[in-house]
Amino acid sequence: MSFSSDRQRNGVSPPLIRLANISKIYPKSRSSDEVVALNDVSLDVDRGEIFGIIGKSGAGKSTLIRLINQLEQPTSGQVVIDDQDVTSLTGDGLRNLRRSIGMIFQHFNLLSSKTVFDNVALPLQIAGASRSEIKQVVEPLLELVGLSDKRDRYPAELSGGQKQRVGIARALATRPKILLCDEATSALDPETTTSILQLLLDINLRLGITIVLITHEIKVIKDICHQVAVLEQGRIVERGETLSVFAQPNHDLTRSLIANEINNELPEQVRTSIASEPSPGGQAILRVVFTGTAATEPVISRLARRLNIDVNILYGRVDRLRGSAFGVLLIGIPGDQEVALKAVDFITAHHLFVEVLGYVPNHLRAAG
Amino acid sequence: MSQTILELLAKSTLETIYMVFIAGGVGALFGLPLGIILATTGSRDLFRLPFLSRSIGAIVNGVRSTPFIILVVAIIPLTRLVTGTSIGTTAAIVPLTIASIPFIARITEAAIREVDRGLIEAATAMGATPLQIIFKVLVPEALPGILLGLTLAMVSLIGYAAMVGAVGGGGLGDLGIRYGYQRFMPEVMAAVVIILILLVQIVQTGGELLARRVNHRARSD
Repeated sequence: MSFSSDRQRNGVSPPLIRLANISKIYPKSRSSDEVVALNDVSLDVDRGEIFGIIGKSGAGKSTLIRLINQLEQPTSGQVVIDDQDVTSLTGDGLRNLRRSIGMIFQHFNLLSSKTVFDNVALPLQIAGASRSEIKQVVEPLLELVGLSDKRDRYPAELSGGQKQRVGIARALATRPKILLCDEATSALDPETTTSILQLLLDINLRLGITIVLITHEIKVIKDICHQVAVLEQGRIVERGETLSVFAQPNHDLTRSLIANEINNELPEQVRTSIASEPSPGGQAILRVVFTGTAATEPVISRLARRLNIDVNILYGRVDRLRGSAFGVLLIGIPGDQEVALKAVDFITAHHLFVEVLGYVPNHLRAAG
Repeated sequence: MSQTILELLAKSTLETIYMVFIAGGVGALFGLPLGIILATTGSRDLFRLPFLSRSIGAIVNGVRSTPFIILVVAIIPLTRLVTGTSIGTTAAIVPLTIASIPFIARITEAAIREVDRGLIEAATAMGATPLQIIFKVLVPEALPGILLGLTLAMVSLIGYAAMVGAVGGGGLGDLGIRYGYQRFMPEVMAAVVIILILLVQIVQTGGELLARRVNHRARSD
């Protein structure tokens, strides 16, 4: 089986957002040398998609997401939204573009002097909406984010998660077609992060809004993004559907970002004794990735029969990758490198992704 | 204390209050917009008019570094032009106002610069115009700081208002000097000081109360 998307991608309509050969260079200043924040970056975001950009700090994520609503202008290249080149916009044209794009922030950026209701109403006031229009829009939005009972509270009285919910409601107030999330969960604890991600997913499904997010947390990508781009030093080093990137990361950075997730999957004794070279009488540890549960079991038992070996199943997990099942199986193949490679060939021939994580010595033979 | 003295005390107190509030009010009328301009025209700010920013900054610094008593004398022609006289309580309001404008401007500037830049970014992303950013975001967010600053300005004005007595401005300072000091009436001097202390207390407490009412930021106390 292949890693096809569960979502029908429409190949005919043009992308909602197109960044074409974008470079951003901050000129040399008194305090710093010239900085190349983005270097020939191109990417397309389709309508209705959740597009995640992951990278370490200083990779250029912040600049990249701000190009979309023109808080940053590119040094060269084009930003096209809905078939319109937005880099040339000024004045009212630019402000209208920004009203069609909502944005949420790591530190929420709520007005401390205004109530929850008035914070959500702010973009509408700015757009010149009447009081009754504002009420009509804000109340259902507070309902949507689950804060109807907090409408007259001030941000200082809310928890981080609640503040971000206000931020989300505010970003949606002008009914934007795009929602930009700037490290929206980075200031939140894991539990709250999960609930905010759930809300974003919900909004994407219910309102069909296109979401572009930047993050340094692989969990955010894994939980809700359809597409992912990996950014390193101003360049996109890997890009694709989340599922296939997770199953088969090509770039070292992507691997290292996912590595923590994999490491956490390994049983304790395997994790501590794993080595890159095989040891005599030991076993190879293979990571098999599958989407959907059906195809795997026969493959593993056939593998055992074909190579006439005992396959140790060390660990198995079916994760939910934004709705679709994403399975990871760690298996131990007794024998030397040759056997391991045969197993890899066999599994690959069945269209599953597999990689050799390493080798463990003999005494772990019975583990798992 | 005789009836006359009590009446004098009451009259002087009212004169001081009159000077302080008119000067403070007019000072705020000019100082607040100047402060907003100072805070938004720097080379990294909303409007990027560094020349305007630097010019206003220079004038503000000039007035602030002139000793008040010299300012009073130096602007006598202006005072005459505005009030028709250079002596009396109304005339004293002119130098008091001139002195309070740069003070209020700097305090307003500082309060606005305290506002998190993330809020400016958020408002820009909402499609706000620079003026909307100022009046819908910066001023409401800076309001507690501005109110505390205005309180401070009023308290300073109470002190300055006592000084203009020296040039025929009337008020409590004048009374204290002429009766308490020159006519050796220590009880008048004491009364003047006590009333001044009370005035400062009232202004300070009132200002703090107001500032606290509009402050919805988390408090550590």
